[in-house]
Parts: sequence; C-alpha cells; structure tokens
Amino acid sequence: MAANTNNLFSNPIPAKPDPGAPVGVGLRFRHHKDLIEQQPDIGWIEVHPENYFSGGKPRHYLTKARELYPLSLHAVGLSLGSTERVSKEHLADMKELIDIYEPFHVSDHASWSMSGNAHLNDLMPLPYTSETLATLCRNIDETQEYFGRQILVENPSTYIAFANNEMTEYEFMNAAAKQTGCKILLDVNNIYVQSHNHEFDPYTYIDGIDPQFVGEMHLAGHSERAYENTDKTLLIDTHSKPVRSEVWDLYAHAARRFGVTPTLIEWDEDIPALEVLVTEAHSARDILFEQQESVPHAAE
Amino acid sequence: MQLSDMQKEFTTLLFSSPDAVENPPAAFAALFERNDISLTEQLKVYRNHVVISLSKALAMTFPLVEKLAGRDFLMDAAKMYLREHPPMEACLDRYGGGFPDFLRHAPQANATPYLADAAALDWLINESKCAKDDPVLRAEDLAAIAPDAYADTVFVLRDNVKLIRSPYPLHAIYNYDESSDEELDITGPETFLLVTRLGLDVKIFNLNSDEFMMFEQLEDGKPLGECLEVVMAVHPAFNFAEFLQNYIALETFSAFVPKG
Repeated sequence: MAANTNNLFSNPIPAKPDPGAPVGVGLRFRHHKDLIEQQPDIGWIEVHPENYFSGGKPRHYLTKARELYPLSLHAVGLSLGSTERVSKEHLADMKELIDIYEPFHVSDHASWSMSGNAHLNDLMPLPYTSETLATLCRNIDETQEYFGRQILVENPSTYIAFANNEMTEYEFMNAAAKQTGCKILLDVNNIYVQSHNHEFDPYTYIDGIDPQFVGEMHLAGHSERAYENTDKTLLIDTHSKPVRSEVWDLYAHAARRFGVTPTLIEWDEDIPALEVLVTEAHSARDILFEQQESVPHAAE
Repeated sequence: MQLSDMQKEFTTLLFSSPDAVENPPAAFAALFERNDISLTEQLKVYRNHVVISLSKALAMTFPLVEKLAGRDFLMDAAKMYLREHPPMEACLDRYGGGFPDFLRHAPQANATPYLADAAALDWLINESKCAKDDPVLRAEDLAAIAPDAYADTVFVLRDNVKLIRSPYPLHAIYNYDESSDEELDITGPETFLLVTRLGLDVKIFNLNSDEFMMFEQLEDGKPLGECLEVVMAVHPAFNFAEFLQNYIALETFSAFVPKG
C-alpha cells in the first residue's frame, strides 16, 4: 500500500561516478523526460534539493534518473552564511532526500539568503572577516553533524565588494575547509566573474586554493551588463549561456592543479536542448583528461 | 557594523520600495568598496534578481490568475505581495499561500471579485501537485473493516486531496478558453470542487453539496459515524456506500484508522 523508500529504485546504480566519467550536468525539469529517454553519455547528474522537497512528478522523475546516474544534491537554501542558524526544517527536508537518493555529494554556497524570517532567493555576498568565518563554520559544522556526512561549499559570484575584508576569498574558503572538514566546490565561472567585477587575477585565486580541499568544480555561462558613463561592465552569473572561452582556459589551469575532479555543467536560464549541455560536458571531460597528460606526476 | 546588522539592512533594503536602493543608509553604504559602477547599480543587481525570481515563482503558481487578469496584472500584484510577504523558506513550491487573500483585499482586483477564488484554486492545485507521496487505499483494503466497526473508523484523506467552494462557477472559469469569442460568464450556481492528484497529474472534479460536506467532515478527522450524523442531518438521502465507492476509485483515501 505505502511506497517503501528503501525499495524505491528498480535498479539503482552506485552512488559514486565512474572515475572515467567525472563530468555531469545539472538536471532541470525541462530535461527530465529527455534524460531518461536518451540516457546521454554523462558521468552524473545534479539537482537542487529544494525543487524536490515535495512528492509527485519531480520525485517520480528524480527516482527514474537516479536509477541511471550517480547524483549530487546542490542546495541553494541552507543559507550557511546567515547569522541566524540553519533552518532545522530545511535540514530535515534535505536529510530525507539524502536518505532516499544516496547522493555522492551534498553541497551549498558560501553566501547567505535568510534574515529575519525572510528568504531572499539569492546567494547574497559576505564580507571575508573572522566574524563571518566563525558564523559560516558554525553553520557548516551543524549541517555536517545533522547529515552525518561531509558537505561541499561553493565560492559565490558577487557583484559588490566589502571594504572591511580581512582576507581574500580563497583564503576564506581554505580556512572554512580547514576548520570544518568540508570540501570546497570550486566554481570556475564564479572566479572568472568575480575577477572581472572586482578586478583581481583569477589564476592567482586558483593557485591560492589548497588542492587537498577541492572536491568538485562547476562550469557555467555568464552575461555581461553595461552601464552609462563608464566602460566598466558587470558580469552576472546567469547560467544562461555556453561556457566562455576565458573560463575554459581557467578550467584547464584548475584541472592541472586539482587533477581529475568531478565537474558540473550548469544551465538554469534560457535552457537549451539536453544535447547542448552534454556537448559542454564532453568538452570539460576532454580538457580534464588532456590536462592530466600534460602534468608529469598527475597519475601518482 | 556587525554581520547580523548588515544582513538585516540588506534584507530591508531589497524588500523596500523600488527606489530604496537609490539612497541606502550611510552606515550601510560605507560597508562597500566603490568602483566606476555606482553602489545603486550594484545593489540593483541583487534587488532585481530577488524581485524578478520571486515574482516569476509566484506567477508559475497562479496560472489561472494570469489567464483571467493578464501577465502584467499578475506580475505587478506579485511584486506588491512579495514586498509585504517575503518567503520564509527556500522551497518556493510552498510560497504564495497568502496570495489569494492578498488579492481578495487588493483594490486592483475590485472589478474582478472572482479573481481571489481563482487564485485560491491555483494554490490548491499547487498544494495537491506538491503533496507528499502517501499510500493509496484500495477497495480490497476495506475487507479488513468489520461491518460493526465502520462508525468508529476514521477514513484518512490523502495529502493531495483539497476542497474549495465558491459562489462563482469556478470549474467553468478554470476551463475558460481566453482565446475564444465567448465572454467569461461568472454567473452560475455555487461551486463545490475536489482537487486531487491521480497518478502524477492533478485533476479537478465537481462535487454535490452533500459530498462536499462529507469531505469537509472527513478532513476534520472525525470518525465515520460522526461524519454521517452531520451530513445526514442536512442531506438525509446521502448515500455513503456510493460515495465511498466513487472516491476510492479516485484514490482520495490513504488509510483507515480506529477512532483515537
């Protein structure tokens, strides 16, 4: 009579991606049926758990998709940087999905979105101070304890910079990983977007990240916004376009430094046919493996 | 400024009137580095994303309101609503439960008094669509109930079962084809509707007033004997056996439990 969550899958594949297939794509609603029918050559899929807290169609398709691919749950609502504590209801909703779908990664962002019982539905920026680090680490600790597992935390895209930063963002990310035991989800597009917006060298950022902390990388497209009375533009992390060539170059550099690392192609606005994402995923896979051949000690 | 105060100020600014980002408080503005793009433009990136993403989320939940009143009306109403009632959690499937009442009291909706009921129907469809996957009670399961135990048995409705009544012909309004030449006719008898998920799809059924009353009693968690007492006082000809057969077939019950 009741659906037994322990027997949800007719033929679940293992949780972890095959080492030979380290690149996945973000699964959004419009590709649910295509993914299940076409079963493209990708290593894994990613979903935002907040879209699957409910029953019905989303979970039906997620169950089918999980029978075909390893899964990463990439949250957008834990608000790990909020001075308010992480919502117990949100943790419980995510834990239910973790128990059912056995993701190989669970992640969220180094940002905040909750304040005073209002959820902003955006990844809001943080100043990189010791106070912020303590807040973020407290929330990561509580989350990891609740889930009983390690999480990954992603570097954000920001459009405004704080004047009172006490450290760089990469120093902040390293420190959070060192203090909490979480991994860094390194979004290469976000580094590029920020390097343009805040005028720093993105390669210095990559070189500043401690390789032992990197557990996953992300790639996506961004948009450029122009303003009157200035030549300066803002790059916006819209996830609405192909990965830009500058970001591919930066990814190649990251691939050399961090080795074969699970990598995701994200596309959330103006979503094209699934084949387009799969082609991007194959490009990422090629770069990832090519870069290992150019590193003499990568196989050790 | 402490981190908590920055987050409160930022939140207040984004949910304030659209021109609030033009003149942020001095202490808040002093937190940020300046470059050739003004602070206002930088803040607008966040404000626009928050307002547009939340109003689009609301628009997706209220397609009937959009059909009846148009996209511009819905987006304007959504923007007003979200400023007064920001979401309180990240799961946007659960955002917008107060929107029908907001429309009921919005001066802009005075000319279309049926719009709030249409929004309420949209919300129930959304709730039904997003309800948890609970078990389905089948006709063969009823054999486990002893005939003399029926009166003390509580029939549990599935999480996706929702009820709505309206003085307007809500089902006809729901099915109205806005591309047709016929004008929307809002006159008609009071409507009683059942919203339920059959398989993966949400369906809407017209109910008789006695069936609606019975569902209301069941929704309150009363044992069958008490439900029938209330319903048959008003509708003495109510046929429970037929009701049970019809709605078991529509997968509206999840279980039966003894009176607790």
